[in-house]
Amino acid sequence: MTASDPRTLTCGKTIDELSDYLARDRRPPDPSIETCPECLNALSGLEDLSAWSRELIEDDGRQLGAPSAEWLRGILDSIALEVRSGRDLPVRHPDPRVTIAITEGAVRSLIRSVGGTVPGVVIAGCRIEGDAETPGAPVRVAVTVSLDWRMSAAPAIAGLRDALGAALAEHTELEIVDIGVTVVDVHGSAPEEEQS
Amino acid sequence: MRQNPTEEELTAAVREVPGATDVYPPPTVLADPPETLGALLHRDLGALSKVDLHDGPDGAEVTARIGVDRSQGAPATARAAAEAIAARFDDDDAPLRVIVRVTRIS
Repeated sequence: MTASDPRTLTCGKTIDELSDYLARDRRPPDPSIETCPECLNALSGLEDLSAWSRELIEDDGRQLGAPSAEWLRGILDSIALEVRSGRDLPVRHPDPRVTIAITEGAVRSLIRSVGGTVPGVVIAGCRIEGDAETPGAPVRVAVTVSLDWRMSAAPAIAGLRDALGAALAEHTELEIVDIGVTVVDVHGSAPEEEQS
Repeated sequence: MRQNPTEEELTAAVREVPGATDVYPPPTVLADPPETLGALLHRDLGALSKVDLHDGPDGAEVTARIGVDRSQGAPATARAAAEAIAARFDDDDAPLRVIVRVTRIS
C-alpha cells in the first residue's frame, strides 16, 4: 500500500484497517487511530455506511437484490479520499497574530454526515470546487448521491441542499455560490415513516 | 524574564472552550515511536493529544489541531480557542503566533 492508494489515508492507515478496527468495536483502543482526526472522520463515515448498508441489504433482499459490491467499494474509496486533510479553509480573526483554518477534510466529512441525516439520501461523494483558500472567493460544492427509489427526487434534493447550505453557513466561512446535487444511483431502503 | 505557559496549560485552556471536543497531537508526535509506544502501553491518549508550543528566537508559536462539535459554529469555537491560547501569554507585546486548525467537526 502506498499513500497514493485511493484507500490509504495520508496518515498511512487504510480503510480496510479502519473497517476491521470498527468491526472489533474499536477494541483495544489504538492511540494512533483515536488521536488521528483523519481516521476519526473516516470511522464516522464507515459507521454511517455500515448502518445504512445493513438497512439496505435487509430491504434489498426483498426488493432489489443485494447492493453492488462495486458500488459500495466506490463509496469506501470516496470516504478515504474525502477525509484527507486537503486544503486549509480560512477563518477570519481580527488579531494578526492568529491564524485559523478548517481543513477541507473536516468539511467534507461534515457534508457526508449532514447528508446522512436527510431521509432517503446517501452521499456517494463530494467536492469543494474553487479557490477555497482565499477568503471571500466564490466556491461551489458538488455532491453525488444515491436516492431511495421510492422518494420523490425534487423534494429530497431540495432538503439535502437546504441542510448542506445551513451546515456550511454555520460551520465554515466559505462563500458558497452553488450546491450542486447529482443523483448517480438509486437504492431501496424504506423511508423512515414506513420503518416505524 | 517572561515565562511562557506550558503545553499542558495551553491544552487545558483549549479543552475548556465550549464546543471544543478534542485536541489532536501534531503529526510529528505520532511519528515519534517512543512517545507513541509509551502511550500505547499506558492506554494514555491524553499524553499524545496536546497543543504544540515552539519557543524560538522570533517568539512563541502555538499550534492547536482541534475537533469541535456542532453546538455552535466551528469558526466561533476556533476563534474562542485561539483567544484562550493567546490569553495565557502575559506579555501582550512579546511576539506570538497562534495557529488553530479545526480538523474534525462531529
